[in-house]
Amino acid sequence: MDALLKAGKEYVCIMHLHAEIPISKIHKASKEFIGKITQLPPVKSAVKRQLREREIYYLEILEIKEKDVLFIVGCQAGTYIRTLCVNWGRALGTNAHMAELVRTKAGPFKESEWYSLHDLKDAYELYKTENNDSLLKKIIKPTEFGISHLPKIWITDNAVDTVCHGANLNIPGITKLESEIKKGDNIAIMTIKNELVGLGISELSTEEIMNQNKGLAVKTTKVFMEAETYPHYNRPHYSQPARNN
Amino acid sequence: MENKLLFEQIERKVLVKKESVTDVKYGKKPEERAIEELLNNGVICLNKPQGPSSHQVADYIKQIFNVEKVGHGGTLEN
Repeated sequence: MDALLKAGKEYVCIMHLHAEIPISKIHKASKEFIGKITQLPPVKSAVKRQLREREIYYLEILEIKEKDVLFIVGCQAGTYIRTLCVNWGRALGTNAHMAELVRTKAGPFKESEWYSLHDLKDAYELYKTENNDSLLKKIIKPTEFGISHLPKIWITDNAVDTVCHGANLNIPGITKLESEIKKGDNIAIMTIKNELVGLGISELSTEEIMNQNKGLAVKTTKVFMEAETYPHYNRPHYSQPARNN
Repeated sequence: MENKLLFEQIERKVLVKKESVTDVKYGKKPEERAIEELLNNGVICLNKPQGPSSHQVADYIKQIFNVEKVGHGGTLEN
């Protein structure tokens, strides 16, 4: 779940300005909040109140009606939209507050795939009473869906069980990997069948993994697959070198 | 231009480090899992109603699906 908390988010928000401001000024000021910004988390917040840098990937005004500004914003995890509204208001020479907020994306989860508790109940009833799992299968997605935004490394069948036991992933266990992996990235460790084995932190970049034949590639941080799903791999037996007595 | 979050901006290609095949005897492709398996291990993107806490909603889902463990991975702060 941590993988999701750290993923980028998209919100749709209504900011309420405390004074009427010309539309062109609001648009112009919005540009200042795209890219790297610094924020002081709000007084009531879950984190320590100290200035921190966050990235706004996009910010687009959808509609302005008198003092209300409807906008969509894509941002790094941990961006306070409440604070963004306050700062945007200040940049306009007035005050502003966040009136409404809806999250429309969190990592791979998008608004179009939201379901309500009623949907869940209906789907489960259909399954229980008529043995029809078509609705339920649409709603409950494999765990793999929740990490689909992470870069992936696929491992050989032989390497699966050791990772299941919490071992780190070494280069010889890798069969395929995605490009653009950097050292320190959160990585999803997958089987060739595209099952999630676990998560880890990359110790090497894609290029380094491609160019080296041994060594530590990924430090395993969380295991999802149950041990013994794949067989335990016994190293080929090598005979002991003869000793000179 | 379509708006994209950081991870959506990165286009990743799959590179082969060394060829390997998988044994059909072990594991299962995610799309081949039965509904019972998904009920035991799966994710749902829920539009949480206003009012009850995330924790309470996880409890409702436990009741609806008659399962023992339900967790949540973060909710919108208001």
